[in-house]
Amino acid sequence: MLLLADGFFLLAHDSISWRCRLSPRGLRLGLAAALLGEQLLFQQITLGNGHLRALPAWALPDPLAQSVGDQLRAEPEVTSVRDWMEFLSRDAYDAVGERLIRQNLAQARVVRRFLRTATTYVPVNHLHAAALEDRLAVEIGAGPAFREPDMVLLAGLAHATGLTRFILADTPPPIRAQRVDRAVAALPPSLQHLVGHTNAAVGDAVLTPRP
Amino acid sequence: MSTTLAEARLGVPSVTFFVISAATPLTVVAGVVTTGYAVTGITGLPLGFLIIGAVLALFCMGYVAMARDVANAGAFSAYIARGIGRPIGVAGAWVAVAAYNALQVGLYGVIGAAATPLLAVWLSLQLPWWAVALVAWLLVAVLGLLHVDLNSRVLAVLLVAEVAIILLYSLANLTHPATGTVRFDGLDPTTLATPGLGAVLALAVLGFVGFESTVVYSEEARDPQRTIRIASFITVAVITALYTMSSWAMTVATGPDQIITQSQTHSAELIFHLAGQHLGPTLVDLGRVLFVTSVLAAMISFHNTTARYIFALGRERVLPEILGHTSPRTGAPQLGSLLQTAVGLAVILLYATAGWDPVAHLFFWGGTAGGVGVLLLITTTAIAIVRHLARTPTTKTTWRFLAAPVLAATALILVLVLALTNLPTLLGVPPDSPVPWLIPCAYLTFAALGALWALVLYHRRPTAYRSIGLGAKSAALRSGGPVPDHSDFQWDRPPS
Repeated sequence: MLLLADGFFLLAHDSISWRCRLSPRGLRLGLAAALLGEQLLFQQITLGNGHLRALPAWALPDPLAQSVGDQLRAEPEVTSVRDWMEFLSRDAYDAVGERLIRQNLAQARVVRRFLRTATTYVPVNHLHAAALEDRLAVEIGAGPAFREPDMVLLAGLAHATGLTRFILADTPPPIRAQRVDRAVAALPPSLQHLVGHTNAAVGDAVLTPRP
Repeated sequence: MSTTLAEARLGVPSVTFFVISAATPLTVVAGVVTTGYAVTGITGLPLGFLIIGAVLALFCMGYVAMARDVANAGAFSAYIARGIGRPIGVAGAWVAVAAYNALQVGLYGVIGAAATPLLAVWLSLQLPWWAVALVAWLLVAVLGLLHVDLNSRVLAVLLVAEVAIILLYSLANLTHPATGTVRFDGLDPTTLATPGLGAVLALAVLGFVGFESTVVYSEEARDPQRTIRIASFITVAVITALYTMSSWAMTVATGPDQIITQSQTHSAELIFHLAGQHLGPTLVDLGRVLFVTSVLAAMISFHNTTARYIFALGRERVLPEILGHTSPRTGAPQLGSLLQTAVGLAVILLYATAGWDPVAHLFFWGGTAGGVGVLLLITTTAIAIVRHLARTPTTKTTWRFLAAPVLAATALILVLVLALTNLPTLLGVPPDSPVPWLIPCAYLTFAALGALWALVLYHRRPTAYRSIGLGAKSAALRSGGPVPDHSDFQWDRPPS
């Protein structure tokens, strides 16, 4: 079962070179948004006007999604979507990387950086990643009746972080934006909100520089 | 979660540091102050810094108070859109893009003057100013596209070194008064009772540009009000103290009656010329190196500010959406950066082929034109603050929410009027020259076109019109709606 954040992780890497397509901040924000997206898809939360609300829990098939849901329910007084996105973005990379390892979809690689080492997670299955990209490209171009909400949400998050310029490289930018926007506009409001807030978070990262 | 986020929030020292580190004080002291004396011929500049420092401190009260209601808190135009109206907000944004561009491009005029003495001594290279400017331009273009805001440690080292060298030079100036005794003429209020008062005040504003970015960190600060307010005051106070003291110390070392002729002879070299007399060549070379790095840091900083203004307009879809795209890999506001880079190249080539003077007519005119633009923005923002806070019901102190903003707005209007009437003095041109007319006319044109464009949006693209001033958050607005009680989402298939 490929969950939303797993899908985002694969899209965020080039399916041939495995080079990461996003800035570290963009990757983390996108993964955090995808983790919140999983909660929406599992009907663990609802979302509107920048705030989220936890819904009654049920046992989820995935430990990471379960733990994110538990965290959200543990602090019901914190409702700001942007705050949760910021919080989840801190550990999202490692958490999703580990989950991909458990599914044999990635492997950990220790890289030496200046004066320290860091763990990166690298996808392993080229066909899998390429197939996901193709499927996304097809669904974005498809008519409303054929679209799956999780795929459209994934496309929306990919577009918000700038990934569609790789996935839909052959489509001219205005048409690309138009297609994704149209598909996202057909989503339920809470999923649309999440895409909007991801977009805002990516933009604010540009406007709020930390030297 | 709340504790983790709280720990990561910024305190007063971090915010103050982020903002002051972008102030690049040596660019102002070695470049603006010396050429300012030379061009305006007025000795009251130190006092100008004091007055503007006080006015801006007053301005910060209302500015920080309003910041919480402004989505794109770093942009003056967002305050104007919120407080006065969206068309004036777009007008402000276009003026801002023009003003910050002028400030950035102006710096290409001084980098040659800053670097050529070093290149001549160390590498025996005699380069024309535009060659140096083109190298700097390339550096800014590349760093802008890579979205490099200079690393905070690099900036910290540069800032501390710059402040240290300014203090050292000033100390040397004060201990070697030309007339034998330290004279306070530079701080004498009567020196301001000249027709050029507005010019001095406009120049002083130029020294403070950048102080406005404290509010950018509102959302990340421990207390969005208190932290940012204190950080703003400290920033303004430190800048005021540093510039007042160093510009006054220069008049002491040359003698108050000689500062004008000396700065006209030496231009941006004056501060190093004085240091050379008292401190010896090593400290002079160190100061020159820091002047170069300071100008480079200022260029990068203004480049990024301009690119961000353009980016925010693209994000709001006030300008074509493509301007709001980031580079996925670097997070850079790509097109905004490229546009600014293009303007820079065009201006360098224009000045190089026309053979115009880079320091007096590019650096100083660009800087003062930009400074006047920013003064125009601050003044309009001050009016917007008064309007906004007056109609916001509050239980807070009337001083912070009413008296201080009204006083600040009144003072700023006065400063702006004085600056506009003294433009010939500010630019150092005869009163009948057409140049002083060009600057306000250019801004007026930009403002009019911006307001007109906003009205077009109102009729043609109402969603974009409602986004004006929201910056990146306009994306969230386009999908607004209350939190539903139940999942608005029925899906029988488990997500896969």
